[in-house]
Amino acid sequence: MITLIRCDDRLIHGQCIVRVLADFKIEKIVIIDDITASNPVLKSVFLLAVPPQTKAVILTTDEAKTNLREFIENNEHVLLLMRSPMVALELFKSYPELKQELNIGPISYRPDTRKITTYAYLTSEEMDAVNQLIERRVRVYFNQTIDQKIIEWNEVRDLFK
Amino acid sequence: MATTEQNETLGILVCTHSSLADSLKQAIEMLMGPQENFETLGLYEGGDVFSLCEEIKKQVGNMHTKKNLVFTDLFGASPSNAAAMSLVDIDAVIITGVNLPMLAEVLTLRGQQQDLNDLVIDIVNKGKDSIRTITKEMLSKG
Repeated sequence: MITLIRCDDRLIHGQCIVRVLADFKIEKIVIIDDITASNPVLKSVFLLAVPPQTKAVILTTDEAKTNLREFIENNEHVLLLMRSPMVALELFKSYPELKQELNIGPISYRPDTRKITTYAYLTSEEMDAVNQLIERRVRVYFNQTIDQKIIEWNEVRDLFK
Repeated sequence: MATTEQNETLGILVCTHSSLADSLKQAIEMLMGPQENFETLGLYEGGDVFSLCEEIKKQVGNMHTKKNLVFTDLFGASPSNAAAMSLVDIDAVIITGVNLPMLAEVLTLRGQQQDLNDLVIDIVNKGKDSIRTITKEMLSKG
């Protein structure tokens, strides 16, 4: 089963290992990222970063669109991890049975981004994807770790029109 | 880079979350005095792993050292992952879980002729062995 769907452009990193995996009792990480999936160096760096008790696979967006069902239907607690809300939108479109919630964690600053929270910056294209998710009735919220403040996109979206 | 004279000293870069690397450098210099070919880098909120990787390559390149050690704070975390990615382009070994005793060890030994692999083993052992516990029972009474 998919326990958490999360955008985090550092993919597997300290916060993910120290907090997210434990907080959600994650047994398997499914990374959906075209760049990482198609670059052997990046792929091995991120697979190396996975704690030994956790399983991990790295898929392209296209692979995820055709192969995600096995992760939805199995009994393991799965974390779906991707860099961008655009990828999330594609997955929600392909799999309407997914739990209609997207968590946005750290997404780094880029020159054409706007600062949504101290840790998450979005381009206008990414904001469009988030708005489309909202229209599909997917709850989109910003949160780094469960004990920190949650910011609902619905509450702040008017500031970023 | 090709025309630059290579420095024989072992280059050291400490790369961590936030300002830990800077503070570790300050702390070790308090013990051992000012150090050369010893650089630091921090990952801050909003920072990304690819930019950090580029920074690592730049900092190590600027030292013009033939061999390098990159110390990171947490295995699997972004500073460590960025350092791992940089290995395609720089000549370095990464040691994760940096602590002050490890830095004291490398700064003491790096001037001596020693095989890099042996040095790395020494540093890792020093780091592990330096973790001790002190309890009230260990204090002699009277």
